[in-house]
Amino acid sequence: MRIILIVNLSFTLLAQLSPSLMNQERDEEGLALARVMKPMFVEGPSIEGLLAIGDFFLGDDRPHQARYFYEQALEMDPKSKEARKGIASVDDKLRDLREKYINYSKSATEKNDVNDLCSMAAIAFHQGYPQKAIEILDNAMIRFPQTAYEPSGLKTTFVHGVYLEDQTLTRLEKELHLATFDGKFEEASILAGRMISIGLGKSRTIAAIREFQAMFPEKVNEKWVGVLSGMSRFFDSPMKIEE
Amino acid sequence: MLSIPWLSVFLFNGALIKLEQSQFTLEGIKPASAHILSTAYENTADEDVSVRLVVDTCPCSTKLNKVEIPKAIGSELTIRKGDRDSFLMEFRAPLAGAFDDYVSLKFVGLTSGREEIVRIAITGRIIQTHKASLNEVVFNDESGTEPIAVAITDLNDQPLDIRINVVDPPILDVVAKPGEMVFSLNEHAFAQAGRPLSGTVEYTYLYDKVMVMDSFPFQVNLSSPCDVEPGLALFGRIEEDYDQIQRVFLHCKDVDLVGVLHQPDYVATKFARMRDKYVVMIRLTKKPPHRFSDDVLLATTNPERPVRIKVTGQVMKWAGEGNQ
Repeated sequence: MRIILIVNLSFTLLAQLSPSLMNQERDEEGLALARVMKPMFVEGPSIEGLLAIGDFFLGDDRPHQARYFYEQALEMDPKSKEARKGIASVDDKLRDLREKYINYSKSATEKNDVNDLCSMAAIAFHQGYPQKAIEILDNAMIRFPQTAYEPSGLKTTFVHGVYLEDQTLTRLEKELHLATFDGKFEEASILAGRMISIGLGKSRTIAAIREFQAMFPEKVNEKWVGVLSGMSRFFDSPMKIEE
Repeated sequence: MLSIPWLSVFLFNGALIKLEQSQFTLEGIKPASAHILSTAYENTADEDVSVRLVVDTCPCSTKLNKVEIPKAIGSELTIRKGDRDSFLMEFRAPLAGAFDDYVSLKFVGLTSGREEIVRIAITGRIIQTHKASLNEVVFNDESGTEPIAVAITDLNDQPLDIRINVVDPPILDVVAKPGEMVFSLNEHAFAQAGRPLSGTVEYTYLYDKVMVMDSFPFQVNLSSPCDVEPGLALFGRIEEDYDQIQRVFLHCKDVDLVGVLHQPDYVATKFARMRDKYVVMIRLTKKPPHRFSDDVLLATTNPERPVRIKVTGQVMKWAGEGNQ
């Protein structure tokens, strides 16, 4: 939803969106995902749970994350039609995004339009590559000095968004520590799920979950933590969208 | 021996009062011995000058027992234009070691109001009255943690009767025996492992019917059995409920954590093993002092090697209360 909205919306409108609103929205999304994940912290990954998480990320326009969970579901049940269907949907979405990205890239060269570079940056940012997005915007500012205010505004939004996301993760991490310390396992599971929703694949998220697991060694399912840890490779790999 | 070189060089041109000597060197004097120091003066100004002893920051105020100023009224003297005489100072030597003291005199021209402060320096060294088998006691990972004995004898190698006055900081236990001091680490030293510590032991003995006090230096540099990451539990500015917890990691070498030895009354500590390290969570259980800096001490499988975690922060706002 988010990426379609963003790509279809003018990027200037995107720049005007309050980052705090964006962040608040993500935090609420986090709650929904956390509820899906909560039982898996005890029982371990289930086909239904993994598919639900895949669907969640696909609906939230984070196809790479969605693919990872569909693949995990397929690994558990190689005959799962739902998992294959999910992967096909992800591939469609990624193809669509790739085409959009390539078209914007071509258009930026042919029409010399700063808007195309901004749209490319928006795709990169919302696929989880803020550094790549900022790099594109920096190039846009050099290439189109007359209209540099447009990529500049978008860059400010992105930087602010990253900062707020970091702040939110810090808050959730501390709340997770508190709940863990106080022995509130269920509350801690929800907070861990919310951290995953916002910072899936980030090393600090994985570290916080490992700490949660260490404090509840008998309760937290090792296999599930292993699945979550595997997402770090998404952030460790370079941007997958073709330029 | 007392040595007072007779200087012909005066302090500076145009001085209100010219002093013959402003530096006294007393090498090899006995502990606590008294010495009369004398320096001639001449009022070369065109006016009468008042003289006052300034004992401002001078550490010798305790050692330089008095300054006798001829014809002084109270502690102040007026030296008439052209007068010559001498200042006498009684200097009481310290009990041991080198000294570098001074006393200041303030001259004020009574007509012009011009002021000058002149410093008279007194330096020197007390004669050696005893011998020690070591210059310094050092406890570190190489030297180990076993007690270290230091022999203390007079110059004829006869054991001295030593008495321990104070160990500062009190991270060592020092026992005096006839002719020696035995140093051993105590729990305070182990609790502060990981940071370099140094101090002195102050001790006394009788020399030539005078009770002499001296000090002996020591260093303690023990490595902590666990590295704390980050270096301390830094709560920073506490404004929200979720600021009431901090987490650190411990990378332990040859020990395991077994419990909490000590923690401030406003703190609770829990820890758990995480593969090759420990996660330690430190929670504020009640409102700490506005600015707090304390230690949490965790026991390890080696009873002598606890792990210290510094806990620090500042309460800006506490749940249910307003800003601090």
